[in-house]
Amino acid sequence: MFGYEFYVDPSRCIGCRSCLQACEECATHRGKSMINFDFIERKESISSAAYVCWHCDEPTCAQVCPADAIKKGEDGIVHSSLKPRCIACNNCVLACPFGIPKMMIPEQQMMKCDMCYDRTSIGKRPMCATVCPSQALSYVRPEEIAYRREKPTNIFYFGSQKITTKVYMMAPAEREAIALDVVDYMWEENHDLVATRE
Amino acid sequence: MTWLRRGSSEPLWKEEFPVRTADERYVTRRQLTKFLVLTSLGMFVGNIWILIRSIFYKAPIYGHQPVAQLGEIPVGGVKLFSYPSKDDHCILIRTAEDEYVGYSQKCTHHGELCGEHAVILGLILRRSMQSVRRLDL
Amino acid sequence: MARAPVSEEILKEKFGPHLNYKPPGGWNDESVHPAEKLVKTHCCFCGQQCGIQLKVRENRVIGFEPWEEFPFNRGMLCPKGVKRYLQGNHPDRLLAPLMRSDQGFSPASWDEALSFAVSRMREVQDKYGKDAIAVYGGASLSTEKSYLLGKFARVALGTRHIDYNGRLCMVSAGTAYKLAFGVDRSPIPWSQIPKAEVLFVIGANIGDCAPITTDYIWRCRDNGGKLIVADPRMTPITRNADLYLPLRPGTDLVLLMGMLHVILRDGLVDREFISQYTTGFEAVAESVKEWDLRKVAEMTGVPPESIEKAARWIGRSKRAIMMHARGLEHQSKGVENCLAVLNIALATGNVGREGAGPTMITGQGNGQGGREHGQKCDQLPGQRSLADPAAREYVAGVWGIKPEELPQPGYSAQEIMNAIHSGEIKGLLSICFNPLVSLPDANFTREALSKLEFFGVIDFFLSETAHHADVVLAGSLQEEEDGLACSAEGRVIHWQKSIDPPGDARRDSDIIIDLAHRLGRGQFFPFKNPADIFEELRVASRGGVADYYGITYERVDKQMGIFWPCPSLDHPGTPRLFVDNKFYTHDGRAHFNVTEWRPSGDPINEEYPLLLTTGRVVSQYLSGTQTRRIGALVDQNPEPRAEIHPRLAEQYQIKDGDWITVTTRRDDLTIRVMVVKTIRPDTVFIPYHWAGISSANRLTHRTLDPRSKIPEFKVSACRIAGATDESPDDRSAHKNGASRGGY
Repeated sequence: MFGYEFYVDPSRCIGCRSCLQACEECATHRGKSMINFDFIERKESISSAAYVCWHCDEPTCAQVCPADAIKKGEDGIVHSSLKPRCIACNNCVLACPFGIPKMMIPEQQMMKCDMCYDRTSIGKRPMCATVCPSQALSYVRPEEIAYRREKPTNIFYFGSQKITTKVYMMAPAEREAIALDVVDYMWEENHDLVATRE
Repeated sequence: MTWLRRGSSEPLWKEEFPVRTADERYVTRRQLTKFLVLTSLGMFVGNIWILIRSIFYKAPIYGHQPVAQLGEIPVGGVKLFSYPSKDDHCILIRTAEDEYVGYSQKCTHHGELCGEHAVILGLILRRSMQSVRRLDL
Repeated sequence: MARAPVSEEILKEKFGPHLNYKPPGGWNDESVHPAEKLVKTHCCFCGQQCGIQLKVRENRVIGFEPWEEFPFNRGMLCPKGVKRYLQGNHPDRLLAPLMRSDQGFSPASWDEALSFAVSRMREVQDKYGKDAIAVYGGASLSTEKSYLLGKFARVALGTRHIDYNGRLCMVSAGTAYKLAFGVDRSPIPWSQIPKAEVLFVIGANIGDCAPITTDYIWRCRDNGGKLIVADPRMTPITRNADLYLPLRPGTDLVLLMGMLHVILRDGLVDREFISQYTTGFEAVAESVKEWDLRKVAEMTGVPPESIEKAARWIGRSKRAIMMHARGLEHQSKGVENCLAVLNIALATGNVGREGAGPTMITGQGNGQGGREHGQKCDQLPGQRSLADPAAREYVAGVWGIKPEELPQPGYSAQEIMNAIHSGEIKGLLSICFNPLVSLPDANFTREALSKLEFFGVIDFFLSETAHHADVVLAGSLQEEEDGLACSAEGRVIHWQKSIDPPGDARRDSDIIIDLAHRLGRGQFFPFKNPADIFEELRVASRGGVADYYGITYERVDKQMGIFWPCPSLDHPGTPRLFVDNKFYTHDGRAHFNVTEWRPSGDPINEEYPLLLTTGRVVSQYLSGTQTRRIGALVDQNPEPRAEIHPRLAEQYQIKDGDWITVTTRRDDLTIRVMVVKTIRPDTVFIPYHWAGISSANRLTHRTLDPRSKIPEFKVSACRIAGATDESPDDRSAHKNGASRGGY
């Protein structure tokens, strides 16, 4: 949907899994839920997080696919693998830094979140973001997310790989990017991978 | 063919198999089939048109035009004239006592006077001069 | 004898619960046979009453579509709402009436079943008196049906014993709010929540039980609000709490009195508000003097600094909202607990203003509407009291009977079951209630049911309680009947009918009206449709506190719901109560009420040193009759798990995933354990949605709050032990000998 962006805020997740249940109700992948949901460490806390595909600008899954089966459309959505081409090699499953693609063994096809393409392509919102009772997943215009304390970012660092995504992660206001290497947070490092906002 | 890619930083395989559908030059079988069928159809229609035209083609009849008097041109001499219209420049050459040849100054081959072919509308002389059709004097 | 006619295995095999995973025709059927229409209606489950659209094709509900325009939930839904449509087209659905036989239950014709029911009820009443028959209703019935049932019990059957499953839900809050404010309704609409500065949530697992409220709370925090959570467990909303109070089960009253003590001590009371709009403050102020921080900390397990902080944040704020739910109310001091909350709200002047106010979170779908118009044992339409002569006169007039003909107040839900057990009540007609799973002390309930001489059930699935019935009348799902309901925030909404009942099942209201006719009282039930019932309800509620006179279906549809009271057709409704600090009490003022501590009804001792509290999981609803039949929801939480702290687990050498036996004075339960740090080490938590050998209510006790009659589900004494190697199915009979048939 034009002008709308997808925002993920794991800190708001209450673990209800409404997203998981609603995901399989859309028409693109009926009966199969594509949400990635985790309890972070249930023994220690009730924190949970739900994720959708980040629809990276340079999708790692597509780049490692040997069958050229994964495509990113003009609206920025990275689709499930093309059924005639997918050889179920699992390269994409292993390569994705976020762990999103799912290999569906009976169908021998990689499937993943495609932002409920049957809905977003005709101006509706994806199922998960519509039903999420805590709006940990939301699909709104950028001005509607501005009231939140957290701020959206779409830059991730996995070691030396910089990834920019279509889907935004809500992060503390002073974080411009999400880095997953301790080195990126160290004072001694000269390069300035993780800049702070002014 | 690499030199035809004009200095791209991407390796060839990436260009050939782009991730973004917007960059694809992928032609579906259906698209190719449509293209072949439409092109063939076009050519077929064109051929039919040519056939029809040639069936109904009437060779144009040109009238007589006095060009020169006998004896007006010396042997080895030339006379320029226009036939059948003002823009069709021709040349009459008296090659021998009783021999006259006429050429069009336009050659279908190159559009200029050339020795390879000579065509006079209504009058065709062969280069080998094995036979000279009598000029219509 | 209302004992299950054949073994549980045979009944379960035939009638379920079986799991329904797919929409009718399979997942891909909708692309071939798309929906014919979308019906704007509401969820059939909890009191949040989220708006939802149902996809309908050929008299079947085939899916759902979010309803983003409905202002309360704006398209949001919890997993139960997402999957609710799978309760239709279900293999377990009762498509015809059933009558008890030696083979179990056999289908019967409506005439046969209804005549049987009526003749047996008449027999029982002729032999033992009118009050020997009791009626059970439920809070998932539409407002029209709740009203109809109350009238049916009193006018058609002439019994004084009618009560409903909301007795297990809102009655503590209802009694308290009536005492303090004169009205039983949430004083504030949910739109007030983001405006608050301080949100105090006690005994309310909003994340699991009212998920849609979460977004309101997060937005309050985005606006700078602070969240305080008081609960024996860290429930999902605690992850963003600014202050967490790890409250020992059963000690809520002490915490609240301690907080009021601090508010008084620090001079944070709103003197002006108290003197102008309230009465009874002095007595309450006196009564909390003894509850100093040290004493409170010792009893509740909450650090003194935290108690102080919570009290000060509320006391210093002019916009404090205090939300509570069953954790606070399911206690033998449930009314006192709520009164203590109201005392704090009144003392700090946090009533009637924007962004302020106490509120109860109604749990059941029509828990609010179902407790307004006579389904309760002491109530008449309009939230009137059955004992009030003026009310009796007015309603009797509307019903066309003499006031003397109206029975007096009768027994509440648990009291009815007690009376069945003692032999005082011989017959029971039940709808929208599964007491074998919902009432405490399940073995007692089972014994009681086996003594009934007549037991009739109206239901759409054969619930565990219905196994004991003599006749089961195939009723309707929420989507199969039109009607109104009232949501947790006091908004009257429209349950649009989507389809007709399948097979030979009939609308609940038609069944009740038919029974009334066959009992010879048809002239008082001239209704053809729910709309006819509502027309009478409007008049019957007129002038009462819950005044519905100005509400019509069209107005509700147009305005996306109307908040009562709505006394006239041009009245816009009343979203926020007490706006001018005018209360519904006899003197127009709010009342402080003194609260006194007493121990719970099942005290801990050496033999039972731990505290058992029961509750819910997000994927199941109440007794699970519907949600335990939906595959996706069962997969989310396949079995009940007891939560215990690692320290407690270590004491008994229990590891995560082990089987343990939890024992109380009533019974024991073998259950798999979940070892988590998010619960107090002296507490065990068990969700109660399951039946039979997994039913948490085998363990709970029947102590009731003396004023509200709500059972004390949240506080029991227990002990635990690692289970032996036997699996639960081949355990030998436990002490009450109630394990026949593996049940």
